[in-house]
Amino acid sequence: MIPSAYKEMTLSGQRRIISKEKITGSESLVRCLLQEGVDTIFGYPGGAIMPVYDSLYHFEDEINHILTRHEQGAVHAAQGYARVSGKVGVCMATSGPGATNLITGIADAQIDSTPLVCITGQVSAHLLGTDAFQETDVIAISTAVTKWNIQVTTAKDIPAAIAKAFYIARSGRPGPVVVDVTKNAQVELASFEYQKCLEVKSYTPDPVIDIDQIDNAAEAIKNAKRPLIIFGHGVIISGAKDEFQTFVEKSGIPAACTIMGLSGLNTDHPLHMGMLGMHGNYGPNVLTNECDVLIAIGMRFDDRVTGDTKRYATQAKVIHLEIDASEIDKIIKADFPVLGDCRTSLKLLTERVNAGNYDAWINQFEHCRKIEYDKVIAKEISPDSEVLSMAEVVNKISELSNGEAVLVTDVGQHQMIAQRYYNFKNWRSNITSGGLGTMGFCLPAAMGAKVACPERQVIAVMGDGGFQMTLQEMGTLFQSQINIKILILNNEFLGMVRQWQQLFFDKRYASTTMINPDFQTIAKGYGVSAQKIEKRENLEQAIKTFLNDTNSSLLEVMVGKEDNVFPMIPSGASLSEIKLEP
Amino acid sequence: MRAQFTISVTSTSLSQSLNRIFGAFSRRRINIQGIHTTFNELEEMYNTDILIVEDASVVNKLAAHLRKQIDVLDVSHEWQEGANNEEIVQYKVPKRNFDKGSKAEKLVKQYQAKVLSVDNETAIIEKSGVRSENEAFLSALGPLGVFEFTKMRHNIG
Repeated sequence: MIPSAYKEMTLSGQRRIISKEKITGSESLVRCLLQEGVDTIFGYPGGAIMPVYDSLYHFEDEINHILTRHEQGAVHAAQGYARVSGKVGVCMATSGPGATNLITGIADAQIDSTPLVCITGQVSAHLLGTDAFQETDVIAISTAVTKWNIQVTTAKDIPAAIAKAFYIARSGRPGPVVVDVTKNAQVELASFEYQKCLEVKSYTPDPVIDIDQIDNAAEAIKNAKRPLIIFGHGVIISGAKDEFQTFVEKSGIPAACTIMGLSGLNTDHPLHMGMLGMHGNYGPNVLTNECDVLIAIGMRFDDRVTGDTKRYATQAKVIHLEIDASEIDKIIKADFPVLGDCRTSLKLLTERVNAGNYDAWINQFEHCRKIEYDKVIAKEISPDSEVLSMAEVVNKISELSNGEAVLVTDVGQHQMIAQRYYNFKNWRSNITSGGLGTMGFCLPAAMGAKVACPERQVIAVMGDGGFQMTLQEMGTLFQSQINIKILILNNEFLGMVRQWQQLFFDKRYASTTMINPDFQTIAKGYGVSAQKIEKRENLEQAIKTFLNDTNSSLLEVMVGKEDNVFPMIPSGASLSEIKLEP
Repeated sequence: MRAQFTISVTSTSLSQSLNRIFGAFSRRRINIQGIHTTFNELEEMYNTDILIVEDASVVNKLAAHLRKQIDVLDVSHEWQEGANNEEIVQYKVPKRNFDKGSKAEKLVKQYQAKVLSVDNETAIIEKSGVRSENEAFLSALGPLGVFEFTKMRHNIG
């Protein structure tokens, strides 16, 4: 609601908010956030951002500020919030170390196309460049890992900067934006006028789709005998849930996803053939090198997906639906590029394709699925050994949560296992650090996801290594009463690095053994109920207790210390060289 | 095949965009051989011409990366031979070798250069032309002594 001191004006169809009186830059900033629909900020106060925090104090009913225990926690929480909701995540930190502590999360958001607005305090403008207390050049530092950044040095420039920041963060291929506000700008008085940003002269976020490109792609699909759809995060970002499913079902073409594309199509959809990548499923990987038309949708041919690019799908004509022009031909040459938002291009493409008969081709996937099941999956979900496996734990979690939870994962073996064995039934349910591979991402990201969608169950799956990178955020769970489920798959190793040491460094386990503290005691100290199990007979009941707890709970499961994740495509190998066992 | 390219970037807000532009080169370990930045004919627009030696495929990807930067309005790139790349080069030489009728004075006339200034110790000579002409002049002056030389580039059309 706009207070009486403000009036709403409409100019050329655009909503403008104008104040009669001058207000401080910090109040202006908070009012801008309200105008952008911000209801939650994750942050940590400090000297150079104190005026903004003082203004936030007066808007506690409208903006929920969640005090994290570290700025890295704030930015990952904002990522989790953004990824599960589709809205812009907002985090805030002070200058110097506060700002630099955000950088890992900003880089993570950049590579995984997550919309964030990160507001940092800065020393007063007259102190810039003097090495003043807690001064750091956050604009220079963040340039390489942001979609855009700006330093604001006067109060009057705050509204335009914030409006532009939100527009850039959320439009086109989303990404993180840093707004660095000097302290003098926060305390100065200025008139307040807010107008949402609707365009930026030098920026075309949503390219107009060339119908010839659609026609060419459709023609290639019509002539295909063994087409394969590979889809990524772009499908989810564009909100193309229905459009994508319709395209898959109408065309009858088998589909496989990248890690970031998981939950873009239900895992048990009959045309979902599994996950691509280094630890993805056997069929989609090897058959990428046998398809005749490869239809890449909202994905960027990451090296973990392609393996050796010189031996990647060389037999196939490649169709690439992509909103970011710089991704087309970047890694894999597209024979039929389709530039534009895939939600729109999928609709147009669906109108032009008919169902093909791909039964024989789909049978090849089924054959591969059986091979993988016999050699890998059966042993993993029903192991002979007395020691629990990660896969059987995740499989049981999937079953008891009906595949309906938001699954947030950290980075490493548990991540690959969780994504291989969780049966996603809901859209926007897979939150992980895909591109940057940031250990420590999981716990704070899960926290943010839960704040964005309090009605959904959020399960954070992590290893004993990653958990210890950001475990202090259990303090935030406790203070803000956020209910998430923390599953630690503890193998007392940095498991994925150890796996590589075993396979490629003659078992020289350099600095990968973990001697861990008592996680239950730590959790209980933060008011999080905790259990630890080692035996199979306790697994099901422990998971039920864990999932049904009305508050945050932690379940530590001791798993095989030297278990490996298979299948595996060795680094630099072709997809066809995927290994099902050591 | 590696060749010389001029990448022309039109951007707004030079202070914000330069880091992003140069970052695109440095993360690919592309050595910049020459830079020229100037105002554009449009208000608050700047042209930056960047000279590099690279493969065409790398240049295409680099240009696409630059094009998507928010403050970058336009990016074009031309193979060096396809552009009119004029250089203005200044040479600082010892005055003693530039007496009237000297070999140095003949070289200045032969290469259509001009003497800009002379003090007690040095003379400044300026020459414009394409790179090969300017390098030929530098080679000819070399035996007579060249303290410094500096050049600016222009791209026209």
